[in-house]
Amino acid sequence: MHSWVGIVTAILLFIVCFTGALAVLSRPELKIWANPELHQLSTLPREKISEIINTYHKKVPKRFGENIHVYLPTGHNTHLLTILFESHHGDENYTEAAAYAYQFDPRNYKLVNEYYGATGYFYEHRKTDAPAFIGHFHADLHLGRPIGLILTGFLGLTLLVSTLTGLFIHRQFFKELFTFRRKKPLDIIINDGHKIMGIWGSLFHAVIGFTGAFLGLATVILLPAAAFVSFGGDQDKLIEKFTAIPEPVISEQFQATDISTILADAQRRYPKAKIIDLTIMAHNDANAQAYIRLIGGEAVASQLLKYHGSGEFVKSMSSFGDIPGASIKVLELLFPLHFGNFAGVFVKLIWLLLGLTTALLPLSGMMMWLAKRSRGNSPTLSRQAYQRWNRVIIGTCGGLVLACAILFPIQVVLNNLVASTFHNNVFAPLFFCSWLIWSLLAIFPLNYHRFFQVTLTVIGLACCAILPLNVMLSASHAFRADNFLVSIIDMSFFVIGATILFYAFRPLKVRLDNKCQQLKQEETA
Amino acid sequence: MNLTLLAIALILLFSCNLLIRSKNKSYNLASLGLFIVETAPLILIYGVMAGVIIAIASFLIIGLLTALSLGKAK
Repeated sequence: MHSWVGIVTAILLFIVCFTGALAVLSRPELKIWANPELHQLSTLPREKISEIINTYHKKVPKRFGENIHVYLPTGHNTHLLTILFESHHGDENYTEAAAYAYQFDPRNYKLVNEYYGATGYFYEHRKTDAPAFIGHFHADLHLGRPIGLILTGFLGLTLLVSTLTGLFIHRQFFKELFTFRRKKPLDIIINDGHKIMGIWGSLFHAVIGFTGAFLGLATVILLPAAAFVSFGGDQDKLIEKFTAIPEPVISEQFQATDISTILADAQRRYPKAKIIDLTIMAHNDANAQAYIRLIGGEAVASQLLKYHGSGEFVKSMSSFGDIPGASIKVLELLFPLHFGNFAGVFVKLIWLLLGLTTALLPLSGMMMWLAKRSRGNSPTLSRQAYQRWNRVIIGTCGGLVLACAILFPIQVVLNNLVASTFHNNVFAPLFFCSWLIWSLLAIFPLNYHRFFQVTLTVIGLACCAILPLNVMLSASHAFRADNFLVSIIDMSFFVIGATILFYAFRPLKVRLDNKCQQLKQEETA
Repeated sequence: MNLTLLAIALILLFSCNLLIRSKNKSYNLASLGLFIVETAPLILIYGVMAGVIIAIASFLIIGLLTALSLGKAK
C-alpha cells in the first residue's frame, strides 16, 4: 500500500510539497523582497492611518462607512496601504457586496490606486508577485475552487497515509535513525536518505498531511457536512456562528472612533506581535467596534483584539470568535502548524527544511521503486523504460523547480521595467509555459544524466542572476536596501544558485577526472 | 539575549542527538533529559506552547542533519 499510494501520487505530492516549502517564506519575507514599496518600512504610522480613514470616509456614500477594512503594508496582505470601505449589501449599481478601495504608497502615503466595484473582484485581481503566485499555486494548483482545494486536500490525506504506512513498515525505526551510508552507490544513498527523512520527519509529515487535508477539504466538504449535521444544512448560519466580527447596530449618534489609540494599545499589549489588519464597524458612530488581527508574539495562533470605538479594550479572541471549548483551540492551531508562521524566521527555516524533506520523500520513493524494478536477473523494467521514467521525473519535478526559480529574476525585471498593472499577466504564462516545455523535453531520447545537469544549470543560473539584476536595475538591492531582510534574501539566492551550479558541474568534473586517469593508466601501460 | 539562548538551545539539541546516536543505552536515556533542558531556553524566547513546538521541530531537523552528516555510530 505504501508503494502504490506513493507511486500514484508521487509527482503531484512533490509539486504540492515543494511549492508549500517555498510558500512558508512567501509571507511576509519574500513578499517584502518582491515589493520595493515595503523595503524601508519600520514603524506603524498610527496618526497617518487615522487621518487617511477620516478623510476618505467623507468621500464615500454613508452605507460604505459601516464596514472599513484596513490592510497594513506588512507583507501579509497587499503591498500598499489599503483602505476598503465596504457595503455588504451592495448599492444601486451592485446587488452583491461592493466596495470603494483606496491604496497608498506606504513610503509617502500618496494615493496610487482607486477602485469602486464588487468586493470579490477587487480581492481576486489584487497585484500578485512571484512568492504570492507560488503560494496560491500550492493552495489549489491554480485549478480554481473547489477542484483545486479538493485535490490538494486529498494529497494531504495521501501524505498522511504514506507516513503512517511508512512508520509501520519501519517499526524498528530506532535502529535506523542514523543509518546513512554516504560512500555507498547512489541507489543505497537514496534508499537510506528516504528512510531517515521519513523517520526523522514522520511527525512533521503527519502534521502537514493532516492540516493540509483539513485546509483543503474544510470549506468544500467539511463545512457543508457540519452544516448538514448541526444547522439543518444552513451553511450561512454555521458561518455566522464561527464569525468573530458580527454586523454592527448603528445608533446614528456621532462619536469619533479613536483609531490611533486603538492601534497604540494593541502594540503596547502585544509588543512582539505584528498588526496585520484592522476592521472598523460603524466608523464614527457611538456603537463603533474595531477589530485588530495580530500574528506572532507568544501566541501560536493569530489573535483578534476587540475594541470599542472610544479606544476601550474589550477582549482578545481567536479568529473564530469567542467560542469556548478544546476543539476550537485545536482548530486554531491547525493554521500556524501548517504555515509555520507563529514565531518568526527561525521557525520558518525549520518548516522550510522539513518541508523540503517532505517534497523529497515521494521523489526518492519513486526512484527506489524504479531502481528495484530495473535490477536483478529478470528486471520488469527495461533499460529504455528506466531512462524514460527518469526523464519524466526530471522533466516534471525538475521543471517545476525551474519554473519557480525563473519567476524570481523575472520579478526583479518586472519591478524595474514594467508597470505594476501588467505584472499579473506575466507570472502564470511564464510559469506554466516553462514547466510544460521542460516536461515535454522528457519525450526526446536525451541522456537523463545530461538532462538533469542542464536542469540544475538553468535553476542555478536563474538564482544567481537575481543579485546582479537587482544591483543593475534597482535602487533598493542587497547593498543599498537599508533592510537586512532584502540583503539576506538577495545574497541567499546567489549562494543557493552557486551551490546548485557547483553540484551541476561536479559529476561532469568527476567523469572527466576518471577519464584522464584512465588515459594516464593506458599511457603508462 | 535571544540569540544567545537560541545558540544554547541548538548546541544542546545537537548534543542530545549525539547521545541518541551513541550505542550506550544510558546515553540514549540521558538524551531525553537533555531534550527537556533544551526546551527551557526556547520556552524563554517563544513562550510555552510555541517553545515546545519549536523544540520538537528543531530536534527533528537537527537529528536529520546529524544522521546525514555523521551516519551511524561505529
